[in-house]
Amino acid sequence: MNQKKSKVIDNPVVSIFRGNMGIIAVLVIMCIIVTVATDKFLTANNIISVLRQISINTYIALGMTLIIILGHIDLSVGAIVAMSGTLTVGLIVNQNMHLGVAIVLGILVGVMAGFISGSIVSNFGVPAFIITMAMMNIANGIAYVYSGGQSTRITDEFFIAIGTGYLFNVIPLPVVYMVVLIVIFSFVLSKTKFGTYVYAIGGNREAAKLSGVPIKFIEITVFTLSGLLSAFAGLVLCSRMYSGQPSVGSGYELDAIAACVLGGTSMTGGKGRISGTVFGAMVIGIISNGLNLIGVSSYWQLIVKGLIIACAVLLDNQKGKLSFLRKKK
Amino acid sequence: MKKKLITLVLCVAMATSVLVGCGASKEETAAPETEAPAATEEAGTETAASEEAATTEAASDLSFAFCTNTLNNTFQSSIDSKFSELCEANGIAYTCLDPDYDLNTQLSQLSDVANSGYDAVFIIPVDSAGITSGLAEIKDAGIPIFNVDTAVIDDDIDTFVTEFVGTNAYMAGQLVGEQMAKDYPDGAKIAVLDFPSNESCVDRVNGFLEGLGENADKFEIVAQQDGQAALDASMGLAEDIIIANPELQAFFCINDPSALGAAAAVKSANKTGEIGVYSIDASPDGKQALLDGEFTAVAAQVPLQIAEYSFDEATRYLGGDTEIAEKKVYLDSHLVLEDEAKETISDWQ
Repeated sequence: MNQKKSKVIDNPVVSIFRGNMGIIAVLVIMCIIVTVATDKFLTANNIISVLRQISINTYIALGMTLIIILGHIDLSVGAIVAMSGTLTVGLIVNQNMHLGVAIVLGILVGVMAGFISGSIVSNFGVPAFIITMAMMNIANGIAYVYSGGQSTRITDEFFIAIGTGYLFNVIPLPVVYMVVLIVIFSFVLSKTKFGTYVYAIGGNREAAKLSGVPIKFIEITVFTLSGLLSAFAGLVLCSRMYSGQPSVGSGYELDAIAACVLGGTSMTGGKGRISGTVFGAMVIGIISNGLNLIGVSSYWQLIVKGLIIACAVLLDNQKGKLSFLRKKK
Repeated sequence: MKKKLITLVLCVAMATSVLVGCGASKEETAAPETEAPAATEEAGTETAASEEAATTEAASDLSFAFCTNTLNNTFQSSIDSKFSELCEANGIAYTCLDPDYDLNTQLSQLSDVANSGYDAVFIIPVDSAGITSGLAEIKDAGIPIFNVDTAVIDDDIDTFVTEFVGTNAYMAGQLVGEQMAKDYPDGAKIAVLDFPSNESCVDRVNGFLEGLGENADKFEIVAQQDGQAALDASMGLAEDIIIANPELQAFFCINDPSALGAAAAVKSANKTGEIGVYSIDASPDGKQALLDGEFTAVAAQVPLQIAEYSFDEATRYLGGDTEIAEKKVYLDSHLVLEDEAKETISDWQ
């Protein structure tokens, strides 16, 4: 339960490295293999491209990390991506709504979805698995009902720039958002009372309750944040795709969960860190990018992806038992 | 206590919304006062129109059903609205059943259709080899089956289907291939985004390779991957393919969503114009992309023509002319050029 860093380590970089030894090892091994296999991997172009590709999954995985640390799960994230994105684009193109208003509304819808899931889970103690699955269906349904199942093309320059623009002509904007969000969430989780409460609830709910942690407030806030991040992911994705697509997002929840678990977040709650999730998302992104560059067929990729995820989790899980990696507890 | 109250409020809210939903649909089904076997989607929206429809329904007394594989795609939904329009014009009652890609649901819907006494059924199978039992039930009920767009397996066509009508997918691929051979007379490095789990998409790729003609060996396929016929999946793939093959000159994609994904990737690599994007479909989005210069060429699928042709065949068949000249009809594809794209920008063909 004790998530506080041992006092010996003060340097945050060292602590990130120590805490994520297993996943970093996997990442490095993978990078070496792919680099040997193809000279296209370790190029500035490709690294930027990979970062952009993992950004959508990372936004979602940040929220998911908090939710899993609480001991819950959120299956509705992919559907919220589709719902918010489709609504935003639809409102701009079909309803001629002002861009800013439409974006705010699209995000708000995602926030509401998260808030409702969180409220029901927290107030009634219903398993989040079921409630968020219900929310997944509802959000998917809303996306399809609103759009009639059709994609909507958007060419508004400002809207497109959100996902395809660059900072200083080099760094893609989705990557910039990703870095900002990672910094915010790392700070919130490790340096604020809010973060401490999240760990406390996930670690031992009863104890947290007895020590006066506002459980409901924290839980609802975390689910709402997850909805917010998913809606934001939907916005950026639509902008990158030049269209609102009601059919996107299926399976995104699993990629986000995989990123968290690869990064060492415990499915039983109470344990996990943002830096781990970021490395997890990188591993998932590099698996498909690397295999694509090498030219492995999509079907073999599924098998390889499964094997790598299984090995990575095993390695991470076993690292505590290997004496040379053992840390001071 | 507070908890109970919230539960109660939520339950009431849910119940009301369910009832409201039912109420609306009841209104729809109740509107045509004659004993039409099923209400059309539009029925009940305008009293005048539906009364007119109801009387003509009584006059022709026919009813058609369209069992699609999904409606979450402009391709299928444009077939649906064409059928609906044609049926209304001819005073035929019309129903569309959407299983949303679920084979099991489609089988139940086919059973329902067999038991509901329709006069003709149009079917797009969820899975070509998976609906034999459903087809048998409909055939046993004596209802003629018109298989549209995606063919069921040959055995099933021989045994159960009255007539199949679809786009000539092979030809569509061939046209695109020929165009590419023309655009790159010295050959090129190309990438193919395919979708092997769909029969028609496999035909398109084969047609495409055939279409490259005698120049085929000058073309090098540097990457061929499953783009899942979807925009987001194809976009990521295309980005990686572009990086892995800096010399790449063109993409061939089996449908518009996939090609739009490739086009987005080409754009974000700042290579619009340098890397050509060739597609098949010519959906409204695809036509826009062609006009915007994101697509180099696109061959047409013809859902509206499929709907018209099969509707005509069905009415002819029911009118007593039961001779079917050809059991499998493939309607011609064509390259959609800018003029046609401009003219029909908001529709299929």
